[in-house]
Amino acid sequence: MSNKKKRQGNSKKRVKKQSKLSRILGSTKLSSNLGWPHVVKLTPAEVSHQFRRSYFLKLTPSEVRSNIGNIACNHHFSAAIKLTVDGDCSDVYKGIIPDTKLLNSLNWIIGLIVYHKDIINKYIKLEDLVTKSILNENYDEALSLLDQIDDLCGVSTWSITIRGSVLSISDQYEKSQEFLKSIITKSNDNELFKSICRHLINRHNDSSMHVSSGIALRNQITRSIDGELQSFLIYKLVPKDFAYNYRINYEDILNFEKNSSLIDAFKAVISFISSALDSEEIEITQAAKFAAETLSPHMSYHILDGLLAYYGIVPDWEFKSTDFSLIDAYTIGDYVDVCDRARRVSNGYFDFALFELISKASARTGINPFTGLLNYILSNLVNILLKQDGYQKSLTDLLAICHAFSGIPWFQELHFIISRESSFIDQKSHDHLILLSSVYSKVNSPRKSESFPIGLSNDFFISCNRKIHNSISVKLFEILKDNKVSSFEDPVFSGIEVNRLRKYKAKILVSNGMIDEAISILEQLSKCEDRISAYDANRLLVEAYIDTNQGEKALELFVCAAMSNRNVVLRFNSYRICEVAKLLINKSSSICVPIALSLHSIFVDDSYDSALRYSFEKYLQTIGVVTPIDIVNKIEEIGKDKVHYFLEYVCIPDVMKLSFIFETKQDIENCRIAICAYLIENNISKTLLVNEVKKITKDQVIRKAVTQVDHSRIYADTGGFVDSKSIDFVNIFERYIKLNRNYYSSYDDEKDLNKLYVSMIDSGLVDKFYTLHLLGVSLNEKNSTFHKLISMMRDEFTFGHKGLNSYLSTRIRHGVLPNTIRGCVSGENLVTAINPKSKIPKNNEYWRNSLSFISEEKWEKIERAFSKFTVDFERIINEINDEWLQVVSLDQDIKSLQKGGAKDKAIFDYSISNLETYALQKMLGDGGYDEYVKIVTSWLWRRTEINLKSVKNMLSSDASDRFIECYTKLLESINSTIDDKTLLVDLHDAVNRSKDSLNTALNLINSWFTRSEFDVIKEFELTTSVDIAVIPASVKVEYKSPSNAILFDGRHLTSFVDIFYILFENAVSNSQLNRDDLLVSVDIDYEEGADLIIKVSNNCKEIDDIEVANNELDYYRKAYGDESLINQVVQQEGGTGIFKIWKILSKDIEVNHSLELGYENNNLFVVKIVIHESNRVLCDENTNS
Amino acid sequence: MKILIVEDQPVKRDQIKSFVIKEIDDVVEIVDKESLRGALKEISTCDDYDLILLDMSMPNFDPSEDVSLGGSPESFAGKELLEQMKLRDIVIPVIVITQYSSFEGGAVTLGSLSDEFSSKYKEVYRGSVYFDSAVESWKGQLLDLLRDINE
Repeated sequence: MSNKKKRQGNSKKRVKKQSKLSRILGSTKLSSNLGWPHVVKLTPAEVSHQFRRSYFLKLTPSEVRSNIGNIACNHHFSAAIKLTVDGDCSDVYKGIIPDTKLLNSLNWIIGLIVYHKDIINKYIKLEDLVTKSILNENYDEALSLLDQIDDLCGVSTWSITIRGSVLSISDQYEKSQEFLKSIITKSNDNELFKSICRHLINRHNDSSMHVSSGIALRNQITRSIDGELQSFLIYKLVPKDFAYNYRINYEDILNFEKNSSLIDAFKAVISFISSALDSEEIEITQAAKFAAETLSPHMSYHILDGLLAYYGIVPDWEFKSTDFSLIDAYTIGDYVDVCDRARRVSNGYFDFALFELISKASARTGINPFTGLLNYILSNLVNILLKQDGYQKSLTDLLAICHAFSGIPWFQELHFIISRESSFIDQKSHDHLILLSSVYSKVNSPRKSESFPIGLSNDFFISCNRKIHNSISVKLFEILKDNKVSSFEDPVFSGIEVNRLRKYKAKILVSNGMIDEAISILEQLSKCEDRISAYDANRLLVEAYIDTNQGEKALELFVCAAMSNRNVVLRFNSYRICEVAKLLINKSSSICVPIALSLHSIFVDDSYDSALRYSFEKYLQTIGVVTPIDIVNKIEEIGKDKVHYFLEYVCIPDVMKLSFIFETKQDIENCRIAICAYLIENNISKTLLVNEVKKITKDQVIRKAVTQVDHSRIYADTGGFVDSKSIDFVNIFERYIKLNRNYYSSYDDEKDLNKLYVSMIDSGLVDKFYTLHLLGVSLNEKNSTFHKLISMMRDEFTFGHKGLNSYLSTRIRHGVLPNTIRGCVSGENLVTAINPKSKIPKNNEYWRNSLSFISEEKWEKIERAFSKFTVDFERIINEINDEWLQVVSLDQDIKSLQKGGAKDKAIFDYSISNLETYALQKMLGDGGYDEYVKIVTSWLWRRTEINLKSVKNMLSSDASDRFIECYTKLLESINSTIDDKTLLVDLHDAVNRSKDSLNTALNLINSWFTRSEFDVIKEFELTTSVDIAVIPASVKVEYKSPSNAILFDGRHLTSFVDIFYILFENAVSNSQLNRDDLLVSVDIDYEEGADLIIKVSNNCKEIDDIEVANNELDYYRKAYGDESLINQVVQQEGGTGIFKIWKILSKDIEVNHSLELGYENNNLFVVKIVIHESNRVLCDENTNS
Repeated sequence: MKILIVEDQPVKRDQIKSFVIKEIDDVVEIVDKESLRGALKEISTCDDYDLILLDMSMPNFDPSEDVSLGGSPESFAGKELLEQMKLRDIVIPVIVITQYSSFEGGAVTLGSLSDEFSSKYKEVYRGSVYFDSAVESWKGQLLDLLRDINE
């Protein structure tokens, strides 16, 4: 080689092309502050940020991933790659790596996982051990394993959650709070991370509040948080709900999690790949497949194997013969053997797929082979599978535990089956859950093959048959995959449990179009004693009936199944059933049509409520009944259960509201009262219906009594706090009461909150609690439970079906307010319509004509002034309507996470602070849930009053000033254009009239923002309260009141209704007479300034000895007024009515009184209440007259 | 042409009424109802309507001494009326005129709601108009829909 060539060769080597990465890392522009000396000098942190930004801008996603190893030691990148591995969590979510799109985030995380693969592989093994420890209740071991995981991988929200749940489940609540405190201290000013940790550590809440408080949290986030934070908080905090149609945006999740911890980033990628299984976006499924394929060679993780199988990539199948023995025992129906095998395993741990089989075997045998937590999970799962008593509690208990340990695959699998078993979700979601169960399962059971793509099943069975010999289950599923009717001839079927065989036969017949043959088998199966098989058969049978146009049969079967066990409703495809019911409304005379629609309305959603309303009316017409209650005459023909269901749940005001049977709202209410009276008489849902009747009658009385002109448009219906749907509130309240018996004074939050509470009370700031939120406080279980309860009730009040926002929206925001204000300026032609596209107002032709003497040049200036006036005026109107008059209700923790969001200017602020809910706790006495509701309702209205005051202030000052400024600017512009003011008299007059009109309009609008008083009455006569109480008690009453009417203070109407109802009920239950023979007398005696005496007497079955009978009542006489005794018994049912009267009078009304009771003669029982401070219950008009 | 206006806000109702009378030559009668029940009863008993101009939000009952402002507001009363018409086989062309550009806190836009109505109530639904008294575009939109119906 010549020297020249050599030189050329050397010279080529020297100019070797610099890689993209080298160019990025070697960029002098970046390292020297972009090379612009005059630019403000960047800090080292800002320079590093520029390097990281450049890395993602200049590299492809693939390069982003593959270069991680090369930059791991670079000081600009090392922290982003280590994440929390060194124990520092202060930068979590802080965006060390700038915002990136899905592919960049995904590739970055995959790169991180591959770079840290040894750590991740160790973590996967440790996670498995943690699962076993938890299920075997070795909680100390679980905590020690979590320590190891944290040492290995760094702190993660995954480990924080699991640790919190382990500490909570093992009753180490204080330790969990100490742990939280330490995390919060380490997090410095990282508010998002701290807030998330506070929620995560308390995940293992009591189950009674899990589902409802989860929904409340979800609503809070979706209503008030925008953008990527919304998706992220739902992903991180809200319990997974497969029936809730919310698509998480994984671009946001991966964007956040790439800046979190190694475990969280890993979990996010697995979650992304899993969620992509039912995605219809090709880019998403491709990215997910790519992620699974790229990660797979680097780690041993069964979920990744499952995901790869879904994509048709053959993983390395593993088959355990012990698994197949158990599966075979189940397939042949030897359920006792299945349970015995489970019992024989010393540590009790089973992969979830096997645990599911054991649970199903246990449902058939009643044998629970486990102890401890596994025993608890299994017994609850059996309740869910069998839909038996306690179903609802089991469901919430298991959902709570699934949420608490949702980071662990075993519990995720549990969640999949519960979701499938507990509620109907559309077929697509159902199939997705089956697929997820298959993907997550560690057990390569033959059933798993059903989820594989075509082609992979064959490979699966070949592999399986090589390792597992003579398995009846393998043979069964191998035959079933061909879906041939002839396969039933195969001898393998003779060994399979008979009901299972029938079910598979029916399924294959259906899929081959032989539905009549399938129906015949399913009808047999639906009658079998094996309830799991019978439920499955019923569900399939309903579908088969619908497929063969036997709609009425389908409805009948569905309704009968629901009448015998309401818990089965959600197993049926009630959407499909309701479609059939809708078609039958005009054709069928079956009561099952409205009942089926009602069941869907109660258990699923309101999508068929319109059809239900129509079917109610049509059904009555069809069967020739004039009013709903007349249906009782056909009870023999229709059936008692169906008639009673129809009356109780179909004939409700919301369903009857469109019916032409009724003329007015009062007609509907009277009909409902009559129905309730009938049902109460037949002892059906007595407590609830009695309350319903009292509420309806009281509302009627008040509506009649309210005569004042009511301008208010502000209202919120708090009926949801006490009606049949209030069960969640009641459960959580009871949970709080239970917790409140414990000692919390030594807890830090209790001490801090109490100190502040006392100091505010001392300073006279009792109405300012809402203004203070103690930062960094982690609430103890009692305080946290109460806070959640308040938060849920606040949500019902603000965003409930008939909540404040609904009234605000329809009565004010919905054009009413804009039109009212706009009318003031449009009436004087000061504004013109705005072109929707250009957003420019039209020319003001009116004033152009009126000021026609003005030159064109000057008019142009005036036109611009009018145009600006229109735009400015509209802007203010829109701001008031769309931004001010909004409701925001966030917990302070979450509120602080998003500044400048869509509701930043909302005046109806119902955000609650921890101090405020603590202060509310302090207001509670021993009055139980009723007292609590009164306190909360009153507090919510107080908050509303504060908000209303702010609205009024803003309208009369800020808004008014801004409007006036618009007028001023308009006139200034015009005046500066035209010197001769005499030419502008008309315009000045118009502006002045408009200003006056605006002033009037703002005053009118202000009057809307007062609380509607239609639940308050000024005064009432005693007969009113008696009349209301008589209806639910269903007794005959005569009055012996003095002729001059005595007026009672309207605030006490409910109390007196309750007192009379108690007395009437006592008469009914103790008189030993039939209702028809019972007569109650009410007598009132009052002279001005004297005691008020109310005497209620009733006839009774003749007693033998008055003295003995009266002596037997001594207990009540002596106990009456004994507060501690009364507080103990007043929460019980039966024999406590008299004490409830004491509570009402002494505690609610706070009036000094006495009560006498006893037999006056052998046939007459009398209760006499003497109220010594009559002025406290009577109206001023009585006492002043 | 006999038209039923179902609208509980007098200002909006009057503006619509004036506009229709001004622009449509063959209007013989305009009846208005301000509640869901009132509207349903009207179209169930009178079968000679040619068009319904329907608001989305209104109370269930007509305002009366017994029920102030017609009782609780119903956010989707217009949808309920369309559903009831379908169930009862009442076929009268309907144009929805609403002051909401979106529903359910912004989750549902008027456009997507209109698409839903077009598919669910195709026999009667003729389109939606976003009413804003500050912007006159509603007039043009309504006129286009009215002309379509008249053709």
